[in-house]
Amino acid sequence: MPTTTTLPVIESTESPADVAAAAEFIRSSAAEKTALYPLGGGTSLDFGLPGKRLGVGLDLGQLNQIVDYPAADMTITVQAGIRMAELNELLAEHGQQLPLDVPHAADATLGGVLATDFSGPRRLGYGTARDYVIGIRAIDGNGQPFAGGGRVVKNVAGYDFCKLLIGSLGTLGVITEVTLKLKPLASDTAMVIVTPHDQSQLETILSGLVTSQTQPVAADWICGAEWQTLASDCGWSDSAIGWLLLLFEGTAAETSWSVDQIEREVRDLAGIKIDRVTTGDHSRILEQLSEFPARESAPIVIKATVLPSRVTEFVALAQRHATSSMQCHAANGIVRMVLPAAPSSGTANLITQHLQPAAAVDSGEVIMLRNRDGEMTPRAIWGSLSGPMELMQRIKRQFDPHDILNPGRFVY
Amino acid sequence: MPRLTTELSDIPMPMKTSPPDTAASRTSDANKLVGAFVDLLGSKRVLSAHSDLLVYECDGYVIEKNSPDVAVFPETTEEVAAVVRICHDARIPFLPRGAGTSLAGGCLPVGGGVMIVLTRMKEIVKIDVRNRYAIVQPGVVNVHLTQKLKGTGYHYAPDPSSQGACTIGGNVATNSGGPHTLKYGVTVNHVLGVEIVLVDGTIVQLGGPTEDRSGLDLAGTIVGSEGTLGIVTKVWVKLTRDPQGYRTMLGVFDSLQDATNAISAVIAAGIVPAALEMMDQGIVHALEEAFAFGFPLDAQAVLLIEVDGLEAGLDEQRDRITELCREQGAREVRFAANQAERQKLWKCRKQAFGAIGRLSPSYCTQDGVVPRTKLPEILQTITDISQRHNVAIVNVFHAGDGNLHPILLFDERNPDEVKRVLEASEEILDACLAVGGSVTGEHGIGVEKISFMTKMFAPGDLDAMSRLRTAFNPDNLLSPHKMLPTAGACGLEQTHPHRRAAL
Repeated sequence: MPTTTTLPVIESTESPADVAAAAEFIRSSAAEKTALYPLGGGTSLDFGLPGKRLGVGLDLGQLNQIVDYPAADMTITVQAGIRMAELNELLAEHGQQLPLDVPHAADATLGGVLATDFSGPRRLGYGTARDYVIGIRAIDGNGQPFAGGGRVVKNVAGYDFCKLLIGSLGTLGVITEVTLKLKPLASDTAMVIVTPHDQSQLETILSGLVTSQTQPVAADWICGAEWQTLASDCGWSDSAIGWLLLLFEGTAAETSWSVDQIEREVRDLAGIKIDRVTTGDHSRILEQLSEFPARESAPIVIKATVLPSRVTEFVALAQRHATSSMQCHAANGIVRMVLPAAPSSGTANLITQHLQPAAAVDSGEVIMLRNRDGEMTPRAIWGSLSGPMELMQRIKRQFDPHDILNPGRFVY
Repeated sequence: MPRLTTELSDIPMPMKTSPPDTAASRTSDANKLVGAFVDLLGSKRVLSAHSDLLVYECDGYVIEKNSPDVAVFPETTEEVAAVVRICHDARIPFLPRGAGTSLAGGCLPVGGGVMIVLTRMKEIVKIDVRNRYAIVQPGVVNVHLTQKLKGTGYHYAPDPSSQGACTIGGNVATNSGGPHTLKYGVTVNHVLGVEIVLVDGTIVQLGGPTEDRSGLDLAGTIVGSEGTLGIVTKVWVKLTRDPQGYRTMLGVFDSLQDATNAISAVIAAGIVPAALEMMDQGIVHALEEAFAFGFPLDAQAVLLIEVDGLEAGLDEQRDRITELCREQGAREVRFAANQAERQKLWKCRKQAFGAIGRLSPSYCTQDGVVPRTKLPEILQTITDISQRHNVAIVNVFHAGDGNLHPILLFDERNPDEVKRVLEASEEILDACLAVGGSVTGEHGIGVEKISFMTKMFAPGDLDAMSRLRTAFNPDNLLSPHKMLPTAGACGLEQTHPHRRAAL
């Protein structure tokens, strides 16, 4: 288990062999009001606030069975402890995929990815976890198993526990089993890189993408020191403003047309040339785009969600306040900042005084994905959530009345 | 409530619509609120006369009817909140209503109370193409948003067949689908955020124009909650890029089994059509009579298949689908020659239910879903059920999603036929559950399918759903007796099938 700054509170770990054992263990923990910290691959344990009290790690790694894989239905039912890489390897054998790009896929479990609602560059073309989970089983804070959804791709019977549990950080229930709808693997991919001269030219290109005839599945703008090695390895021109990577997936005819078309569009919009990325570099670049927010070298990782039209402006503001490297899913308005060290005025100050107010203009938010700086305030980690907080607390009390599931780590 | 008895007297079978215990006292209590509502909204936006309320006694599910005691027509979020506070303080049940096109009784005012009609909140508040979202009030008609977006290169993707009348607020309540949801997803995949009025009149915003939110995904939880968790007063929706091109095909089959095998083959081949709809011979006959499109009348089944996206890829997808259909025994695969022909095909499909009047005086439709590979099996089961109960059944449905809409034809003047239709309906839904499916893909549970909830979910699941409702709606004042088989709802046994428009 990797070391974390948020879970020094685990005194022992329990690894139930099956769902019944997990439920039984949660029931007895509820009776004793023992805090439980659900563990998947341990790859996102720096996400959230530190645990509130001493408790037990509930390792779900043994709940890793394939329950049912009717490949011709393009759905799969698996236990939540399955590793993401293992899942996608199995799916690839059938020409299918779960298109969520997550870091540390060899270790990260599906349940952990859903609990943290992680997503990556291809969310532009494929969406996020909430678009794929069609059925879910979990065990609440009383040890009571419950389920929502089902195994069919269209279903409106009952409340949608899939949405409620995704991103709930295991605080309403420990996810044990998931049914997913799947996508076919594309037969071909193509990648281009755009190197704008300055922020205004980048903004012109990003605005132009909105009405582009092409449909990139990822549009990541990357900049900062952390990307220099990749840039020089791939032979990209130096750029103060960074690089915009566009990924296309589809048939060979589609990707080839898309690359030609985007070349014309960028030339007409901004008068600059694009560079085609050689196929040999694709997997290395995609891997770096997926792994970026989880780099072990980075003590502080911040995520902002803003309107796509305000991404360049937000990044400029952030860079005035702290040295950082960025990865922006530009068309989704998602900004990930990696700081090599805490800013001199403090991380919480940076977030609450500068970044959160800038994002809040259009209901945007700033949260921390990792904080090894030691300074952990709820406001800096999770934002203010002033409106719906009371409602969230009421839901929490209904599902975990003894506050034993990840106590203190989430928003309430 | 004497008027209720009168209204229902022409329906041949006994039914219980309002729980008898408190209905009468609630009625008089609700009527006491009329003055407060008139003070708030003016007399023109408050209806309390029986004759005015008849329109609001049911939605597209017409078998069970009950008038609200009062209907109010707020125009702003603040007015909705004020109405809710009045109801909450007086402990009077209340519920929202959009255009009333829902098909499962979601806006049936069981037990009376106050109906909050949101159709006057019909402003498209904002369209932001750069950031690919729009803000609409709940009463905006679905198709009006897409019409307003013409020329921008974007549209609003969920397209239920009732899109010319249904409201986006209602779509949010039921998590509506439509033919093109196969590729583009249902309503919840297109909702970024909602503003809701909670049962105590508090206004909260859940989600918003930006994509991720911290904390629980309560906007996602609200979608599909059938108006039981809060009243939606504003919706942030995603806009979807218009496809560059379409290829629309008709696969003509001499056997139902071949057609369903072709559906499975297309899905299994990893092709994601924009839409994949099936119509059997019965429905094709009705459509041909109504629209004279030129459908082959001797075919057992017709598949309407559409792919969309980049022009560069469309011919290849069309050819692959054609090949798969032929491999499964298609007699012929026709292509829509132009945009006019494509639109006519879709008009036929979306108005299919309107054509059913040519087949029988009454009909009822179900909304079961099965895993797509089970389609051949379930259609055979439906044929068997049809024969065993001597009930004619025709099929037109969202085949690519496995979402069936078997239509049971009958004459409601024939009590024996009515009984057989009810039995056949229940058997069809049980068969869907038996192969791992659901009893509703897009119409909702409402009051109609409450009795199936215990078949689909374990007691622990229903208990968890009940607790979620309690967190939002502790006294069950908002939309009582809906969706969950909790106290008070078990009197709503269906005793009569129904005619209705459908998707």
